[in-house]
Order: sequence, then structure tokens, then C-alpha cells
Amino acid sequence: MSSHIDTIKKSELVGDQYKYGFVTDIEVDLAPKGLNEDIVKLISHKKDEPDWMLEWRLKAYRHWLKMKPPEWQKVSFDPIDYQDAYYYAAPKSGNKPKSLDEVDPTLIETYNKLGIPLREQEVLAGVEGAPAVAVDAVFDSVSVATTYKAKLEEVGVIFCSISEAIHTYPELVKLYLGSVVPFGDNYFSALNSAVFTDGSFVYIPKGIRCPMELSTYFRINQENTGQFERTLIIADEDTHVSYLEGCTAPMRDEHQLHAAVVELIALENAEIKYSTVQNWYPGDSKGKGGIYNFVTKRGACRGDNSKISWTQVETGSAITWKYPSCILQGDNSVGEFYSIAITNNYQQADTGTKMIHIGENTKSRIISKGISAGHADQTYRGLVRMQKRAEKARNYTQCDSLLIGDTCGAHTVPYIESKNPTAQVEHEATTSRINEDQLFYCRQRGLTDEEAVSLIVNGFCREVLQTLPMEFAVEAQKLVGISLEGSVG
Amino acid sequence: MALLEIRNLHVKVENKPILNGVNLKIEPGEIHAIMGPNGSGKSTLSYVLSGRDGYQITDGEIIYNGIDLLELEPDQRAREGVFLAFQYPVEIPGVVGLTFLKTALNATRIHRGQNELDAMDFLKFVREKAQSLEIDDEMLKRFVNEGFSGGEKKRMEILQMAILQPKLAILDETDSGLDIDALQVVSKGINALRDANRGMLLITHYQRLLNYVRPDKVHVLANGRIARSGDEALAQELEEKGYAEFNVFVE
Amino acid sequence: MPDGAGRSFTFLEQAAIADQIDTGSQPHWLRELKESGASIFKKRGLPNRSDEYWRHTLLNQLVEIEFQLSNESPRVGQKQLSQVALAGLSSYRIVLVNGCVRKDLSSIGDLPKGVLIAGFNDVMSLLPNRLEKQLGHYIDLKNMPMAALNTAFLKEGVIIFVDKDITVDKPIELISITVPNKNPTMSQPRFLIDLGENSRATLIESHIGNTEIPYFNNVVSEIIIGEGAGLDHYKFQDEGTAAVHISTTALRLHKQSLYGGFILQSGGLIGRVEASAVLDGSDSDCRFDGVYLGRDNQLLDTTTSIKHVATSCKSRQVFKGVLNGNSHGVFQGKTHVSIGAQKTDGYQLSRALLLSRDAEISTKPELEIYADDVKCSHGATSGDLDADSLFYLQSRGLSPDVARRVLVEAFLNEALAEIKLNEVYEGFRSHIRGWLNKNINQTVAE
Repeated sequence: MSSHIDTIKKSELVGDQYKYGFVTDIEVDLAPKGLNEDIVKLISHKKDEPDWMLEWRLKAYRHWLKMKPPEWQKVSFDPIDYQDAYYYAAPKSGNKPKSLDEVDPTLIETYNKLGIPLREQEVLAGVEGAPAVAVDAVFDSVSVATTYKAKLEEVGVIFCSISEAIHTYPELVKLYLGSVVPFGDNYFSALNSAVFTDGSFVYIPKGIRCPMELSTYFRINQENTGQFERTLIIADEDTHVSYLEGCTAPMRDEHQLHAAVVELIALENAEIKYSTVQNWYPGDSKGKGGIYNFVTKRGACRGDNSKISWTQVETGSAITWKYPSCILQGDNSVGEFYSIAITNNYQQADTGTKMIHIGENTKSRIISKGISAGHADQTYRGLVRMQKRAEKARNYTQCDSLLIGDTCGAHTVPYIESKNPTAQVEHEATTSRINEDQLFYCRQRGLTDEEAVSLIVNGFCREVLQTLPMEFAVEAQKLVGISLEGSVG
Repeated sequence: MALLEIRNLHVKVENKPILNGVNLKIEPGEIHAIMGPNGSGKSTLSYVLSGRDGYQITDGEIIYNGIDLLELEPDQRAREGVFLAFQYPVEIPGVVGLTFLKTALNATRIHRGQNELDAMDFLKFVREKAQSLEIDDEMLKRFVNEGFSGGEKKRMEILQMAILQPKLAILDETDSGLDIDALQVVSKGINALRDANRGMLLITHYQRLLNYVRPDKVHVLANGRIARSGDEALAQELEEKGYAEFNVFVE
Repeated sequence: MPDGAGRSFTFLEQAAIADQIDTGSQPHWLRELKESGASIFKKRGLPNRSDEYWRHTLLNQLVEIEFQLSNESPRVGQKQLSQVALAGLSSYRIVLVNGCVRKDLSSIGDLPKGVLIAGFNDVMSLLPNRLEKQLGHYIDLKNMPMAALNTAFLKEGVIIFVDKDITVDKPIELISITVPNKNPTMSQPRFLIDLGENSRATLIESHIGNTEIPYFNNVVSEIIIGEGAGLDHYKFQDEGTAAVHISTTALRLHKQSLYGGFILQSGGLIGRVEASAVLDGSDSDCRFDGVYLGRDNQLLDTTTSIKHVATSCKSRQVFKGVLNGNSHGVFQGKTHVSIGAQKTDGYQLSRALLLSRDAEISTKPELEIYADDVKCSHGATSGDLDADSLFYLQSRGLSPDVARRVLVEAFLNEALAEIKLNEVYEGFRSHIRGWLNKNINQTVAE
């Protein structure tokens, strides 16, 4: 187990399409399989947490026991055996290293391979000229490294793992954790609240524009583990922060559960931009294996003139179930949701957003581009609600679905509710297949079928890709092409 | 060896015969014009040459540069140097024109064993070609054909031809929908690509374009066959007399 | 136990009592059909919040009030009838009062050969085999609890058969009037309409109740449109102010058939019109259009579903709603495209105007698509009248109320334009005008 060589699982089933499917051979500290109060206590103990944190976890756990998994979403899978998984897996390198020199070189190598720089002089994804990005790297259950901490501290920005924040900034955590997504919100948020192991914590102090992009990179490595990370971002008054999230996992025949919770809080005049490129292992072309990605992401625009913008590029996971949402409490606050979801082979996705307009003059914009191919099934599900006080609020929603092949499905299920006559809601949705004339035109100019599809689909998704930070946009464009390989012809 | 030789080509669309034994031979350096009334099968010929789906070839063969063209996929034909300037160029929303041109050019260059052009060299190359067609940077940055006028679309087709440098160019009704100024710009672009090694097939209803791009040979396509062949004078004659003498059956 | 489950037993007890009365004459299949309806309803109870398609339309009223099947025939005069009839329309008319066919009020006259318009009981004795083959075969009772309840009561209704190649020369008018007794009345009428190949007909269905006494009208229609046949169907829901109107229509469209449905809803305390069509023959064309006008505490629900099973079918839906007072509008519209239903063209538009501070709209346009060569879209909007247009009209001298009425009418026109029969167009338009004059006076937002 001590060798520093990665064993790369032969990609017999999906060809080379999923290039992050390798397994890192590293010694891990595993809690016993199964879930009970002792496991919850063990996780809390491992992390040396204060009592209040353990209490909260136990409350969440007891609540979870009383809940039933949701059934309304349009995805199907066998019931999950929650007792047949590990809830804690950490690389066995003792305490969190103080500097990169102490980090297990195997891990550094793993992240290099994923294009994630853990050395501060390197750039993300090897994109030349890209600005520096601070990275929090979460490997299975724990954060293994956070870069640029010192530089961020100079301006007062806190960027660390949530475990560290619980110790170092308990007042902030107590005030905001669970304030946007209460543990009882849904089945998976309750589970996450009980057993979350790590994740990122960000606090932007008043008046600060975060000097660099912040990023967390999640990696599931261990077999039979669930990953339950928790992210909390607080943007105090008059601030701006852009946060990126990436994720990959090895190829395995068993499904693995990823149930994260992300909470964003934007106070007066604060702006949070949250971008995700989700590329968890999607399973093979027959639908075997892959991650169950059941995630609760929600942001609260608490202050006037605040703004939360979600961008997601969802190409991975066997099943995706997530609705990054905005609660627009502050007057003039703005919520945005830009989404590209690509499902191929036997992938299933039920994803969308909720925009809850509470404050006056609040605005929201939803742009969703869904592409379904192979035997995949995809649903956009969204809620736009104009509450009674949402004077002059506005929403604009555009949902476009593209079908590639006649064995996939694409569905649109928007809920639109308004209780205010001055609020305006506008929703449009279209579904069509990839245009034959466009395909022929591209092929007449020398592009192969797959190149043509990739080009046209990238054009279809352009409005969303544009909202991504540059270095992520490059990666996302490539992913669009890769995800659709084998879907035509 | 002829650049293109079509022998006894029979084509059906949805089981209806459209081409009933077309024979045509184009030598390198020649410009041929195919004229004919609406519904005579002119566009069918251009789509069969470029490999579009939906056309049943029931008999005959097409030899291009010594290879059986019908065996190739549309993109293989394109990379082998067969270019079709579309009568109705399609819009591709979200795809920037320059990106499209670069992707297409590099696909062909790799096929020819050339290296891919980097961004700077590519831009220089395109600008040079674009200038003479009165295409500015702004137009290149727009999405492929989206919101273009008829004339802009046709100029963009000729620009693509100039960039891809095909061996055989098929221009399907390139003159339709052009005013006189645009026709001159487009014709200039076509003439600039006249070359001893390149063949061209101009498909047109009217003789107008042929005043500017002078063909070596003119053919009349009627009832799915080449009914007559001649030189420029034939085009002039058709302009005066129309297609009546070909006893065309038009539905 | 779901809400109202207790109450559902009372409903079913009544059904059982009603059933015992006609035990003697009832064929086996009818009994089975009724029992299947009763058992589904018993299991599901009244729809509640957890039923996805009933989230907003809660039928608590039905739990609180003891509705009784009416067993007397109240007096209704021709004069009363003429008030609800469309001006200048010559028609074949069949009238129901409290859910029972009234021959004395109907005027069917000389029907063309090959056309049958009759009460359920008459057809039971004339053509029982045909009813056996068709009744209950086109509706998905398992997913339609209120249709299951209606089926448990199956006893009264109207049957319309048109033979192949027949064009019915005049519109068929189906008028349902409720005149409650002292006790709140309940009706459970059933309609079956079967158009043979290449036939044509126009149906105008009105539900009227000029009363403030609560009653419950639970209507179920099954409509079959044969190959190449066409039906224009206008539905007018103007029940009494305390009424609960629930109607469930199941349509089956065969090859190259046409259905043009228009729904005008403005009555009842709770009104729900649900229509679902299955397009199982290629090249058929289905339209659902409509207008709903809500005021006071009304809840008006329009729920549609169009299921494309065959290839090359077209569906269009345009619904416009105007909501005043504390009213709540619900529009749920679904376009479903099954595997293999290539070349489908499906379009849907839902627009709602909120005219008061307390009005509310809930919209759920839905696309469920399993075929790739399709063109499907929907649009939905909600909001107030355009302030610029209002200002423009006022600057031309119109008072604010008049300006609002003009703009609301213009807003509704896109849907109304789909009405082909002039008498219906005029009749509906004058009803809408009357409603606007009564309801838009001091409704300006502040």
C-alpha cells in the first residue's frame, strides 16, 4: 500500500470517455460500515468537534430516521441500503498537514492528474494565462489541502475546510450553518447534517472583493463510501466572491452516494457566483455503476441589492437530483440559474431550480439547456414563486431540451405561482432534436459526425458556457463533446 | 484523369425518380454550368455529390479523382476536397463564425497532413480572404449565418470556399437572391478561385451569373437527364428562348 | 388516511343506496363497472394535496357539506331555459336538470339518419351492447378519483352516436341546469359521445346554476372521434356561486381526426375542468383552448393532458385567465409524447392576468417527451396589464376602467379567435363583456 503508483483501472467498458476513472492506492482510515448514533458520534469525535456540533448532528440523525426518501422525482433506482456504506474515509496521514510539504505525495500526484494544482505557482487545468485560483481539495471525507490561505488572510477572507471553521470560527458557523437549508429540509439534507465529514467554508468580510477565484475540488476515491460534504459561504455586506466546484470519482461497478449540502448567504450588496462542473463517474455504457448525486444547494439573498448566481454543467453521475435555488429576501436582490445538463447512455437527471421572490423588485433569470442521448432520461423541474410582497418582481425562464436519438427522454416540469399582480413571470420551453440541416452543413465542411454534434451542442449551450469563468469554460466545452461520444451514428 | 466523372446516375427521392441517367465529366481547371428549370433535379445533383441523406442511388457511379465518391461519408468527401456552396446556408445559433471556420479548416488540414493553424496565423489568413469579399471582423464574430441577409450568407459561403481551397466546388444557385452589387462581389470571389487544378460546377436557373463567371461548358438538365450540352452560347440561347423546347414536365 | 376518506364512505353509501333501487334491471357489466369505480374511489378518497394534479384544488367543501342525490324533478320553465340558450342558434337540444335528462325540456326533433341523441337509460334499453363495449373504456379511472366516483353512481347521462360519413346539420346543445332543493344537491351525470368515421358534429355543453345554494356537479365525458371525423366542442361552465363543478373529459382521437375544444369557465365556487386526450391515430389534430374568469373567492382549475401516441399528430393549447378579487386560478397542461410518436408538433400557451392584490395564479405547463423528431414548446406568463398600453388608452380619453376592460378583452381575443361557430363566439363574448363590466370597476391595484 505504500507505493506511490496509481493503479489505473482499465477502461474496458466506457472506452476512454471518462478519463478520471482511476483509483488512488492510499492507506485510509475507515469507520466501520453502517449508520447509527455511534457512527455519528465517531465522526464528530474524529473531528474533535465541540458538543454543540455533535448535538446538531444527532438531532439531524434522529429526524432523518423519521423521514422517507423522496419519490416525486422522475428517476428510478433500487432502494439504497444505508447500512452498507462507509460514512467516514480519510487518507491516513494523521492530522491535516500544515504545509504542502507534509501532504502525501500520492495525493499531490492524484490532483495533478486531475489538473488541480495544489502548488500555488501552478494554474488550474493547465490553462495558460488563467488567473490564480485558491483550491480546497477534499479527498473522500476530508479536506487535504487549501492553497493561498495566507494571501487571502491578508484581506481578511477566510477560506478553509468546514472542520477547521467549526473550531476556529464557531460563532459564524453557529449563526449560519443550517440557516438556509435546515437539517429537516429533505431526506438527504438530514442525512448530510448527521454525517457530513468535510467541505469548504468561506467568509468574505465587509467591503472586500475576493482577490481570486476560490475553488473546491471533490474527489471520491474509497470504495463503498458515501461522500457528504458541507459547504458554507457567507458574503458579508458590499462583497463579491466567485467560487468554483469540481468533482470526479473512480470508475466502479457499485453505485456510490454523494449527498452534499451547500448554503450561500449574501448580505446587503453582496454577490456570490457559484459555478459547478460536475463530472462524477456516470456509470458505464450499460448503466452499471456511477455516482448518485443527491445534492441540496440553496442560497439566501438576505440583504437588499444582493445577488446569487448559480452556474452548473452537469455531465457526470448515474443519477443527478439537485435544484440550486435562491431565496430572494432582500429588496432588489437577484437570483440566476444557468444550467447545462447532459445525460447519455443510462444516466438520469432531475434538476432545476427554485426562485422564491419575497422582496420587492427582485429579479430572477433561469436558463436551462438539457441534452439527452442514448437511453438517458432528463427532467427540468423548477419553481418560480412570487410571494405577496414581491412588488414589481420579475422572472424570465428559458428551458431548451435537445434530444439525440429516439430512445431517450426529455421532460420539463415548471411550477409557476404568483400572488402579486405587479410581478411578472415569463416562461418559455422548447424541445427538439438536433437539426439535420445543421449536421449536414457541418459535415459538408469536413467535420465528423461527432465533431459536428459537439459544435452544435456547444452552440446550443453557449449562453450558459459564457457565464463560467474562463478556465472552467474551456474544460466544460471539452466535456460537452466527450459526454456525447457514442451518441450519434 | 478527369476530376469528376458521373456515369449513368439514377436517383430517387421517396421512390420518385429525379435523376434518370446523368452523364457528366469535368476536367481539372474547367468550369461547368448546369442550367435547368425548377424541379429538373439540379439541387438533387448537388446533394448527391456532397452525400446528403435521403437520396436513393439506384444506378450509376460517381468517380472523383479516381475514387468512388458514393462510398464516402459527407465529411470524408469534404476533406477530400468536395465543397458545396449551399443554396440556403443554415443558421447555427451559438457557434461563432470564426470558430466554425477554424474547426473546418483544421479538419481538412489534418487530413492533408498539414499542421493545424494557430489562432494568430488563422486570423491573418481569414482576414486576407475576407477583405476581398467585403466581410468585416464583426461579421466573422457573429454566429454562423444567424441573422445574415441573403447576400451575406452567399458571401460567407464563398469565403468558406476560399479558405478550404477545395478541388471540386459545387455552387448551388449562388446567384439567387443577390442584387447586382452583391453578384459582382461574389463573382469576383469565384473567379479568384479559378485554378488549373480546380473544377467548378455552377448550378443556376438564370444565365445572369454566367456573364460574370464564364463557363467552359454549359449543360441543360431536364427531366433528370442532360438534355443538351454546349458552350457559353447555349446559356445565351436559353436566356432568350427559355426552357420550353425541352418539353419539361413540371408538376 | 387521506383527507376526506371518511366522507368518501358517505358518498359511496349513497351510491350503494342508489344502486339498490335499480338492481333488477342492471346488467352484470354495468354493475362491475360501477363497483370498479367505487372500489377505486374507496381506496383513494377525495383528492388531496399529495395528489400531484390536485395540489391546488382542495375539495374540503365536499367534506363539510352533506350533498344528496336529487330524487325529484324541479319545475323549470322554457323561459328559464331561454335565458341560458345562445341567441339565434338553431340546435338539437337535450336538457338535464339536477343531472337527470328531462325530455319535457329537450327539443331533439327530427334527427338526421344515423344520429342518436338520447338519455342514458333509453340507450341502455336500445343498444346495451354498444354501451358495454364503450362505457368506461376510454377513461383512466385509477388516476382520476372523481371520475371513479362518477362511475360508482353511473345512472344518468346523455349518449350521442353519429354514424360514419354523417355530418350533423345543426349543433348539438347539451344543457345541464341545477336547481337545488332545500338540501345541497349532487349530480353525477355521464356523457358518451362517439363519432363514426368521417363524420362531423358540433357540441355545445353548458352547465348553469342560477343559485347561491351549494351543490355538487361531477361530470364525466368520454369522447371517441373516429378516423377522419371531426368534433367542435364548446364548454361553458357557469355554475352557481356556491357550487362545486368538477368535470373530467377523456378523449380518444383516431387517425386523421380533428378535435377543437374550447372551455369558458367563470362559475362555481370551485370549478375544475379536466380534459385529457389520447392521440392514437396518426395525423390527428387536437386543440384545447379556453378562457377562465375568476372573482371573489373562486378557485378555477383547468387541467389538460394531451398524449401523443401516434406519429405526425398536432396539438395546440391556448388558455387565457383573468383573476380578480381573492380568486385563485390553476392551469396545469401537459404534452406527452410517447416512444415512437415521431413528427409530433405540440404547442401550448398559458397566460394569466392578475387584476387584484389578492388574486393568485398557479401554472404548471409540462412536457414529457420520449421521441426525438418532435417540435414541442410551451410558454407561460403571469402579470398585470401593460402600463404603457393603459396609459396610451387613457391619453386618448378612455377612463381607467374602460381602458382596462378594452385591454383585458384584447388579451382574451387570442383564445376566443379559435371559436368557429359565430353564435358561440358572440354568446361567449357577450358573457365575457358582462363579466368585465361587473368586475372591472374599482379593481386598480392600489
